Amino acid sequence: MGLRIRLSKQTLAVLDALLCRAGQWQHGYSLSQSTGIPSGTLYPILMRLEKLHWLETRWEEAKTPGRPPRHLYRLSGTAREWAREEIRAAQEGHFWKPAGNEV
Amino acid sequence: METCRKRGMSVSSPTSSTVARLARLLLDCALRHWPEETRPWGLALAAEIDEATSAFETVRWSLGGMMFFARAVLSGAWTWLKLPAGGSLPGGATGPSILPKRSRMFTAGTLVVAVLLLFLPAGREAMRMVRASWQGFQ
Repeated sequence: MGLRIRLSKQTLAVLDALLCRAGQWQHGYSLSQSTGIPSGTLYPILMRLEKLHWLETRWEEAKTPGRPPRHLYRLSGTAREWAREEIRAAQEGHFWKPAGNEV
Repeated sequence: METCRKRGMSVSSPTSSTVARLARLLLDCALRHWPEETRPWGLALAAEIDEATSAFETVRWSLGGMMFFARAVLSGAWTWLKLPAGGSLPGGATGPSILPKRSRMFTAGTLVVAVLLLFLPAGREAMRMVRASWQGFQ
């Protein structure tokens, strides 16, 4: 088991979105769209996850000339297991549930 | 704002309403002053603004960016305050340091308390006496 940290509902939502397409690189904007989390909250979460080595990041050259490069994110191999465990624990403790399951 | 636009990479866009352009300009401006430690994250956020499909989304994304910028600036200031006083002074790397080990926060707090003490009745009385003695001396 890795480093245990207290995860907020928003962080759990981001982890859930990253797990939905585990192994695939995702952009910040699409993560914001799928979780409904605004950019001002999303990026500090991504920054924190990267600091904890849960998140792998890379820059992607823009397809359109003149546009800045885009940042991509995905969960690291070990982090996927931890994330699943955290989400399971949060769901069992009724602390958080995925957006699709909300009544 | 014009100088901000000239000073570096700009985030150009397909969404071109005045409000959206203003939102982009604001984010561009924040990028120029973004703290170095978190600057790549600021650039990452700014690069995504091109994905916004409406002016509302652009403004929303930009406002989020401004919030992130404010947090980054405050966090940088907080880190600076927690450093030992004189911790960033150049030189003096060799030999034992004679700089105080107290943080800037502690030093600033002590200074504020010292100033507040002067506003207490006893402090004011002491100040009056010092002033009176100086007047007699002159």
